[in-house]
Amino acid sequence: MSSPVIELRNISKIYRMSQTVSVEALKDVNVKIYPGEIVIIMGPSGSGKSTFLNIVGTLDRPTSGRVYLDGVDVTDLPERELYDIRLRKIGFVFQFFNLISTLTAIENVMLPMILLGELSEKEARERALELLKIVGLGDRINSRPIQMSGGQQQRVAIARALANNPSIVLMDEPTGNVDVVSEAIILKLISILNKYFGVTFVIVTHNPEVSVIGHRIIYIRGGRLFETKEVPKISLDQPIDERRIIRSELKFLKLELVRLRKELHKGIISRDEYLARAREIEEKVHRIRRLISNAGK
Amino acid sequence: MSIHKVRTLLTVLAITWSVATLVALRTVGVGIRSKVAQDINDFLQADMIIMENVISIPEQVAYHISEIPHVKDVVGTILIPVKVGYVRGVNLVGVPVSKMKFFHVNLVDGRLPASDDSYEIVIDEKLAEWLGIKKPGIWVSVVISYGPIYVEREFEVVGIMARTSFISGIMGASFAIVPLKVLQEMTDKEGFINYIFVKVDDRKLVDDVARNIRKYYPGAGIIKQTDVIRVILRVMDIIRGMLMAVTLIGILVAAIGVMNTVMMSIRERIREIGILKTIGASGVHVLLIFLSEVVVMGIAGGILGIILGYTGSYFLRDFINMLGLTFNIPIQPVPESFIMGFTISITVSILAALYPIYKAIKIRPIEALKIE
Repeated sequence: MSSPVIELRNISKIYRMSQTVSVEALKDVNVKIYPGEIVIIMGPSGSGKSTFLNIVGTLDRPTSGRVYLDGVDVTDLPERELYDIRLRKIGFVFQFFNLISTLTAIENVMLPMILLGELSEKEARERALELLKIVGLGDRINSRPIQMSGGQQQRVAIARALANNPSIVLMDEPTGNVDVVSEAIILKLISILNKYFGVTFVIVTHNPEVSVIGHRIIYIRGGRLFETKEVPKISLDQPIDERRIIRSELKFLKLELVRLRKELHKGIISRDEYLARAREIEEKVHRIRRLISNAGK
Repeated sequence: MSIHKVRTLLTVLAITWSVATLVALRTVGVGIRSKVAQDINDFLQADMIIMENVISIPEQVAYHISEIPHVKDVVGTILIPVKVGYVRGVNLVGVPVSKMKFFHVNLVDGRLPASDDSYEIVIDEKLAEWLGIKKPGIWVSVVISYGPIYVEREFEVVGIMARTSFISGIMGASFAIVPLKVLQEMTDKEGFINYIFVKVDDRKLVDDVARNIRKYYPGAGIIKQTDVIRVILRVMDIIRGMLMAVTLIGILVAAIGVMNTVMMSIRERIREIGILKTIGASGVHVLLIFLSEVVVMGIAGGILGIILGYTGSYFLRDFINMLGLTFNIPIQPVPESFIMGFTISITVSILAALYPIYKAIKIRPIEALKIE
């Protein structure tokens, strides 16, 4: 098995309310999350789900224990390095979408790319357009959050999370604020992204329907983790045209290759790095081709 | 219009106002200054004045002074307050006809007195207006009531001269010129004068010449033009300082306005800041976002302030004129004040915004996201 994207070792988190009162949100948590997984985190309110997600997302620091992201110990990194790590390696999707209300859909998706500063505005727009097509909002690119339904906003948020091709996407109740149809679309989207794109997801949820798409389910209770391999089977509607998504997906990967080539020419990345990353993309393309031909049989 | 826009607009107006005050006061101030320097020159027409309250200086003194090295020109005159028609407090200057050109009289109409013993008078525009005289050729009565002397004579107005002088504007006084001989005859002081105007060939030597004059005429009250200018400019500096204080208060108010606007703007967008920081925006990104907003306000306020300040300086001039100063302050763009206004508006905006922005940068993303 390949090396984990996220590894938590002996993580504890204690919130001190006062001199005498403290709450132990996480107790000696050990977990590894591998590339290509969809991990569902479930548990009652106050069980430590959010704390877990914040620590994985480098938004909060554990009281003790180490956090590894792509094999790098990020536990004690200074804040200014964490910004960069969040920007490159982690995508966030929240219950309340958290889009920037003054920006259009496409601008929201472009935002992480612009912040990273490696792409020109035109390139970022092109990529953002493909991402919005992947989430099925290619026709709503100039809508502002207020003009979109909750489900649409959440799909924009997913596109934004994918903007910089992160190692992992963290979702906090992604279907908590959307209607049933949107929920089905989003869940289908997550599984498609996972299946064809190889995106790794960690999803915190109360909703048992969400857990259907998970490969692994982790229960948190009183700050401790309990893992189960049992995934309840509930069938999903399929309101999404897979072929269209795959087309955009391939286009997106092509753009990614173009970007890599540009970075190589500009000297931002070395030749070895270029080859390694290009190979990754080629593998993704092969995988999609394989899956398509399998589906055709 | 959203409350945010209204607030931003008001802040820009506050900046505009403070910059406008600065630019207007500076523009008018520079105008007055140049006018004063030039006017004192025009008015005194001399580098030095020797004066006595009573007409007691023998005319010969003037001839002696003309012998002193570096003295270019000398004219001995009588200057006394008189009543012309019904207008009191007119400064009547008796000048020898041969020396009339010493004063560079700027005639609007008519001519200068023709001979030393003709009862001819040149009055200034304002006096002519008061007396209702539109053309030369009218006779007016001149009353001298000076110490024990009381005389009244009829003079023919032969010329009307321009009055642009700052000094006459400030003093509200009018001037009139008659031949010296006639004035001496009226006051019964033949051969005596009370004002001697001196021009030197090199301004740097004014002090030396003054020292030499004291040798001939000990205890002479000597006014040097440079002294007059210095005194007036010092008074104007004090006034400018006070105006500056007013401007500073305006700038302070603008700064507080900017700070408040940025604080409110940050409070309103604390969630957005949280989102940005979660996504991976660094402190620098947040700084740039809010700073760009502030800089835009600063630039807008600065430019509007300069425009408003410059046009406002015309109104300020009219206002000063309305208060009774009848001279024309030249209004010219003072680039230095524009640069100053612009720089101040931008730096003050940025400085005022730094603290709230610093607080915004320090917001932790998870805390910001908790706020609904």
